[in-house]
Amino acid sequence: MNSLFGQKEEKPAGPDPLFAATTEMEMYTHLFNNMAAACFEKCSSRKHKEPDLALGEMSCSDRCVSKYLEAQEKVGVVLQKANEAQALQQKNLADMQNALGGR
Amino acid sequence: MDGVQNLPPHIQGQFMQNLEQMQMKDSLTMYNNLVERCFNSCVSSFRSKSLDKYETSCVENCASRYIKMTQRVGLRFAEHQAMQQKRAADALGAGK
Repeated sequence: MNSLFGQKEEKPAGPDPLFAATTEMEMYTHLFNNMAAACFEKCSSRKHKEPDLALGEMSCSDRCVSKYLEAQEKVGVVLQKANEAQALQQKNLADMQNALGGR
Repeated sequence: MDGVQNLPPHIQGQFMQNLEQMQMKDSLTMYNNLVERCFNSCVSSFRSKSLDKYETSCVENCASRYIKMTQRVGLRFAEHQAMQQKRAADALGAGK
């Protein structure tokens, strides 16, 4: 899952490998479904006159996939930074409380 | 897909079963979403009880195009994943 949270790799040393694998699969399923829906919405015309995709629509969907995955990476990085900042803030708060309680 | 690849063998069977169930559920969900999407896209008047020929061809075309687009998106996604795994493997090899 190294594309999910930026560059850091998440080691599933956790409780249940089956749960981790199932959750990972679900994540990819959701990603794929959302990506297909978004790209269809953005790239295909509403008229639906033909059963086949036009050439422009095909190259649009290629670029859409590429941009969507890049956006996903960037959002992952932002999320990870936010999580780290929040963890740091909580740690500072806990330290402060300990210091106050120690007096 | 590290979690999936690193599964011990005795759990892999159960995982494959889960995967099958997930795929079944997912294809039903996709079917429902597709119907809603094409209906919203193609049908806008309710003067009669049944679809007229424009609405019928629109709905059929919409479904066909969505499926083709999904296939194409899947192809590009798999390419992207493969490229990323290759990059990760190269980085791992270069680091040694």
